[in-house]
Amino acid sequence: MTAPPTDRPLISIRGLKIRFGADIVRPPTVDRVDLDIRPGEFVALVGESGSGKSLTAHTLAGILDPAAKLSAERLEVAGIDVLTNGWDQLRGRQVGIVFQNSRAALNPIRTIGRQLADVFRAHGAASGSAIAPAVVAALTDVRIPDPKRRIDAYPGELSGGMCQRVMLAIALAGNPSLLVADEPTTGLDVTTQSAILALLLERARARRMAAILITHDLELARAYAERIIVMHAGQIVEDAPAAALFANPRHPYSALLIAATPARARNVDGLSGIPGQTPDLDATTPACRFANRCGRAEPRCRTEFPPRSLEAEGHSFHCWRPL
Amino acid sequence: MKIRTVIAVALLAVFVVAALLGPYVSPYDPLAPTPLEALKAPSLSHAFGTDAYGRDILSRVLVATRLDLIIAVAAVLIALTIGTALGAFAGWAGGWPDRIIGRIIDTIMAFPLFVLAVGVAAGLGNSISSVIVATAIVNLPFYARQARSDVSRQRKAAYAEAAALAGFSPILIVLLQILPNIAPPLMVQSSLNLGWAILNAAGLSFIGLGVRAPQAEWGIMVSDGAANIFSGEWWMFIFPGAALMIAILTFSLCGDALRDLLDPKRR
Amino acid sequence: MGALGTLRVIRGRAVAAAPNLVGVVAVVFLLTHILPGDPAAYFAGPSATAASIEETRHRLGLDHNLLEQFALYVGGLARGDLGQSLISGQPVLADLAQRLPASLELTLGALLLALAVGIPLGMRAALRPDGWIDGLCSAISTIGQATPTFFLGLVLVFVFYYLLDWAPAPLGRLDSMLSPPLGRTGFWTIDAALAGDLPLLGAVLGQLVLPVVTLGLFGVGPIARMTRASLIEVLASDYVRTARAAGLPPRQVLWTYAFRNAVVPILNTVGMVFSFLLGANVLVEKVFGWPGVGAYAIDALLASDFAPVQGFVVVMALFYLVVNLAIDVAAALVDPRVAVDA
Repeated sequence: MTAPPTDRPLISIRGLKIRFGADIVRPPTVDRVDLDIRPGEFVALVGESGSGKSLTAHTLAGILDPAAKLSAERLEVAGIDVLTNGWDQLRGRQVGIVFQNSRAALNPIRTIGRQLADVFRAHGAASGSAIAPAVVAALTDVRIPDPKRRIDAYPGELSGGMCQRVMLAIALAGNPSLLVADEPTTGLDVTTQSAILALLLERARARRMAAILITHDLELARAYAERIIVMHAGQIVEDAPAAALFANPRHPYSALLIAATPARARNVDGLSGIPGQTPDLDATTPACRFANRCGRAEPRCRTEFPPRSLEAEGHSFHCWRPL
Repeated sequence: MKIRTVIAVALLAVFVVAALLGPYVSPYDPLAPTPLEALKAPSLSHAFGTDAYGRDILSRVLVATRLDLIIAVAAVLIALTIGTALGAFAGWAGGWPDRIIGRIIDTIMAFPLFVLAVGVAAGLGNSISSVIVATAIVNLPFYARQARSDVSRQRKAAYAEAAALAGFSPILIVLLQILPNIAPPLMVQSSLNLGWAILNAAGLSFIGLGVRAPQAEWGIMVSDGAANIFSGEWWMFIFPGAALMIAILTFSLCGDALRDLLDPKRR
Repeated sequence: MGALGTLRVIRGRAVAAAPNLVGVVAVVFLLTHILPGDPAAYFAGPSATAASIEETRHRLGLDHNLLEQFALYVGGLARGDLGQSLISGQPVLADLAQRLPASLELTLGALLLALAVGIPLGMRAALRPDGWIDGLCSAISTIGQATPTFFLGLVLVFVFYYLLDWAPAPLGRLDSMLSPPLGRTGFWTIDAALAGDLPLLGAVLGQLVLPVVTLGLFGVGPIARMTRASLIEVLASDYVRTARAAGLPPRQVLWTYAFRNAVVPILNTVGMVFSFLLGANVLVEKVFGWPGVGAYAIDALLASDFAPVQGFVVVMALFYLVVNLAIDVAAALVDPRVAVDA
């Protein structure tokens, strides 16, 4: 059961910009992202590579690349003003994150039991003799068979799917209110993919956590999320409940993404790619970064970024010439 | 051209000229004792001062260049040829020869290198040639390993197979096709090794091996100067020591310059 | 890693090192038996008569063929028989044993110094890349590689003893007016400390400073550089990112997750530094009048007394093999993957 939406959003972001390098002429990699997420909400952040979805997600988890420069009007997570207080209170405690390539994301020379124990200890979730049973419980929670024996296993001895489960256990150990999943199923076979995602969802639901799923796969987003946010080249272009997005996409890019999904393509006439690529960022980048790939662009699109338009309750987009 | 390359080449030129012309341009006879002039501090007439026998240190440092460079070059040449030959053979033949040669190289490397140098010099007698051989042996493994890995990698390359098919003998293939390809890293290695060789040889002469009085050599000059530290005649050990350091640095810089020049990826 | 696993690793590494052991012994044997000239004459010494040469030849088994001689040599080694020194008249093994603590005090002191300075320096450079520490590391390395050990020692003596009068005279382990501590380890620092004799400890340490700094300084560069490189790589890894994201305290992330994973290449560098130290020890002992095994071997060599030299080379090489073995085992203990690879 999802937690009933309350007034206070769990996450509130206004005007997020992320820049690399000292060159201020160059447009920011992530450009004026506004985002609200309510407690218990399941959101998917969708886009091609280079869309800025991972950067946004890493910002929430407090592990943004130190070389990146961040600016925002507002950045609040779980009631904490990150701009003044930083992420120290948040990491692992309010926000947990799961990455792709799980085996590389686990310390190869430390047993998984120890790694989990470290996290428990760090958050005061257990100590002393209570740790071992807590670790076993955590492993059982993520459906790892024979957890008592697995405690002494090294990541190298486990399969990809198992490593992913361990990562989930680590992310959940501090009992966070937000779970970020950064392309968690890349590299796994299809059966494992669905098993992991189902597990992720189920665990998040059980603990009344909000979840953000980062993915390039729109079908996956539809299957597992209630709300989909579409990003392109660092800008949010559309934000809608999953069903509404598929039924009635307003932004041209969203429509192209939908048309490009294999399931859809089968019904129409073959896979249609999306013309062009994510643009490089330099002085010639248009205000709406989709302008050069868009069939409907007008001069205004290049000079002025479209403000937020509301299609319906919970469905917004940024476009001068929506579909 | 980087400033580092310019400095390296300039210094190298200085040393080569000193080695070639040292005995002819040195202001005094490096071997002749002049008791009246003994232990004089650096001055206009003796730029580097004089030693306990009154010999001009500048002259001795200049003349020593020839000896030290000869020792280093000889040692590196021996190490280069024998090491590369062994390594190339091991890389080409594989199997037993590779394993045996590998064992020999491993054994050499199992010794702390200076200790081995002392042992070899002891075994071969106290002379300059044993210093050369000791230094050569200690430097050999680097060439052998480099040659072995390069040759065994290149052996599998298509052109080597094509040449073999065309009926060229293996030795010819190695000489004409493979060696030119592995020459660049070997050259870089040699430049660095010349520095180590000088260091090694100087260390051996410092403890009294190889070079005998009254010959002028940087290591032995530092050794002579060591005794006079207590009476404050600093010039006796500083100048030959500085010459050693600058020579080693020069070869190190040359190695870097060669690497910049020869490595296409870094250009 | 359980005790059983550890033992298995040690055994595996020892087995792998065995051929080197054989090789080392063979090489040392060949060094003195393959040279031109008469080995018996060498071992009999420069003042030998024809009769004593013959007697030496028989005593050392040099009238047998090469293979038999090798067997005799190996047998002697196993018994601890390294021959006899002509100068001291003692068995070489006894001489070496008596002098070994002095050399070890230098070598280990230098190693400790190199680690104590090199690792923090490297860590600083890794955490603040392109800072001034980085440049300092590079500069130390470059200059260090070009400086002969004996020269550095002499420069330090000149500056700190002759000019500044801060350091005591470089005339060995202790001022001749003082008597060495009574103790069993032979390490005068430890013995003086155990005896509670603080002034003596101070004097011993004072004599140690310059030689240890001379030796140790050369280790700082390689260790700092490897620490920096290894740590930079590990800090950029996915698992360190996970550790930070999970909210682990920064201390723990740095030491348990980053440093421990960066240790293996550093350990390998320590091995290389040790090899250098064992060799350079000889030079430092000469400069500082240190009564260690290096000085012993060199004095013997110059007096054409060859058994001590042979014994010295064998002992140093074997010691180095053992050190490498220990490093290998330590690496396997830190990183279980290393154990599996073997």
